[in-house]
Amino acid sequence: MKLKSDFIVQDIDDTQFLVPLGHEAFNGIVRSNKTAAFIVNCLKNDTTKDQIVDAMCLQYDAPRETIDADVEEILATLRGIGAIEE
Amino acid sequence: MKEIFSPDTFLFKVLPKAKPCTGVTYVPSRFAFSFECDGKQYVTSTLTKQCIEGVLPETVKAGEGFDSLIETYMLVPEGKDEVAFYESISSMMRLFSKKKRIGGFIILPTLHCNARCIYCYEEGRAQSKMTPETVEATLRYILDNCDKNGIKLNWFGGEPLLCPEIIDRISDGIREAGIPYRSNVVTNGSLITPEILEKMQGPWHTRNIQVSMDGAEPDYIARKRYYGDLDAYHAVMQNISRLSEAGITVALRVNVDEGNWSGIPQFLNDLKQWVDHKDRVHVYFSPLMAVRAGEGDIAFWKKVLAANPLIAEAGFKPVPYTEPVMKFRIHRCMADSGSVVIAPDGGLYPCEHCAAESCYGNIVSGTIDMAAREEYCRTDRTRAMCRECPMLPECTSFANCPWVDYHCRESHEMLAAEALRRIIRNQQDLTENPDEDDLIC
Repeated sequence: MKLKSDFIVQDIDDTQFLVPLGHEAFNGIVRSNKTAAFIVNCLKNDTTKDQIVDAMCLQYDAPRETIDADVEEILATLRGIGAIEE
Repeated sequence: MKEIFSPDTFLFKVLPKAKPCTGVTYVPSRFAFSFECDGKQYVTSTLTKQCIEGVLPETVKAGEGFDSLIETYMLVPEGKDEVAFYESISSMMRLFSKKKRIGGFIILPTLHCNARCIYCYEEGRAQSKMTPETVEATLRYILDNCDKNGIKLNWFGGEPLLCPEIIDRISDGIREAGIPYRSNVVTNGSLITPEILEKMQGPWHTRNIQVSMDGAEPDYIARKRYYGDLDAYHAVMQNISRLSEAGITVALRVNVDEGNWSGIPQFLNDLKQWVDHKDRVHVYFSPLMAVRAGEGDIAFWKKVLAANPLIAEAGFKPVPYTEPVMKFRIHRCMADSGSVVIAPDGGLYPCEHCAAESCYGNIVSGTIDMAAREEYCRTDRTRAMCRECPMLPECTSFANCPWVDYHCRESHEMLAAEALRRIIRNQQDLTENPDEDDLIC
């Protein structure tokens, strides 16, 4: 899966934003927290949920199950706004 | 400090509030712009639009009573790259507002004109008119690329009313395709016959007309230099009257410089005599490009601002020089808002000035380079001369804009301060003179 090309990532200071480009289904701007920003950065290239979880486990000191649940939740949100192509 | 206007709510829905940090020195934002109104000092942020009464401290630390202004970026960490900050916000807001399809087309059916204005910036350009092939290509291009929910057409020239048949054809084609549209016409106003007026009210879906004038009759004749024996001054006055009677709003742009300035009272008096529906006629004085690009620009702007009450005294609506924009300014002009200009030869340009280097394709040949258009209007390359300017968020946000006033910062500040004073006074009026309804308990 991958971030759709009509969702643009824009950084302002330390905050990451995800902006839809003339998207009909979603008319908003996503302000990512650090976890979501990490996941969005992973999604800039073709990846899988497991690869994202692996990358996060290397970065964050948290149980894999917790990270897995966080990734699942954020991916569901991104899918909900039509930002991911499978 | 008393807050007069809150920061732009949409901007702050998106942007997190800055967190005051211990140990950091905060200084006034470079976008904090101070001005005076009726003996009081105010500061406004041209970036966030927050306005407060008072003066900002030169330096401050978190917890010293100014945290709320740190949160809204009125005070920023010393050394913050605010130009990069602004460019990022501007890029994001533009991406967000960008439509996949085009909502506005500026069409130049011809560069021919029945006048030869002495100041015309199109002087020396080839006087071409759209061929039938280009008209069809224009219609096809619009239908293929437009926002099907509705579009705005701006007829521009040359004098667009020299070619009503082209406007007819394109309007008919859009209507037959079932696309809602409305139009504006920028004209010298001399060719608005009853038949043209009927088209404007009917198939052209015209809502607004911009008519350019040049002051009192002798100045008008000398500056417009119409071909033929047309009594254009009175014909245009009559046409403005006719348009306003028909319910069409007229924006009357009066091109001025030192040479025609003394005739302005006479001009307003003539207009007053001719036009009955004054509420539909909006008047503004527009200093000519040569004035704005010259050393005397500020002195002349001061005259223009001082003369503004004459417009209202004559019964017309003065048009503010700077809109009291209380929101982050995403777009400044047609070029950075994504409109498309189609020239008589089918050339595509980002703005009506049609600078040769800005041409990004031709609808007849079908060679269109949208990447070149994006590159021309990029927002992340602030001009070196603009990096220190507090008015940057109020001004053009792309470095290739060909328009630069001589004292651009001073003139922007003067006009912005004037607009802000107007809003502050209006607010005071509302507070001090409540409507009778407000008094009912």
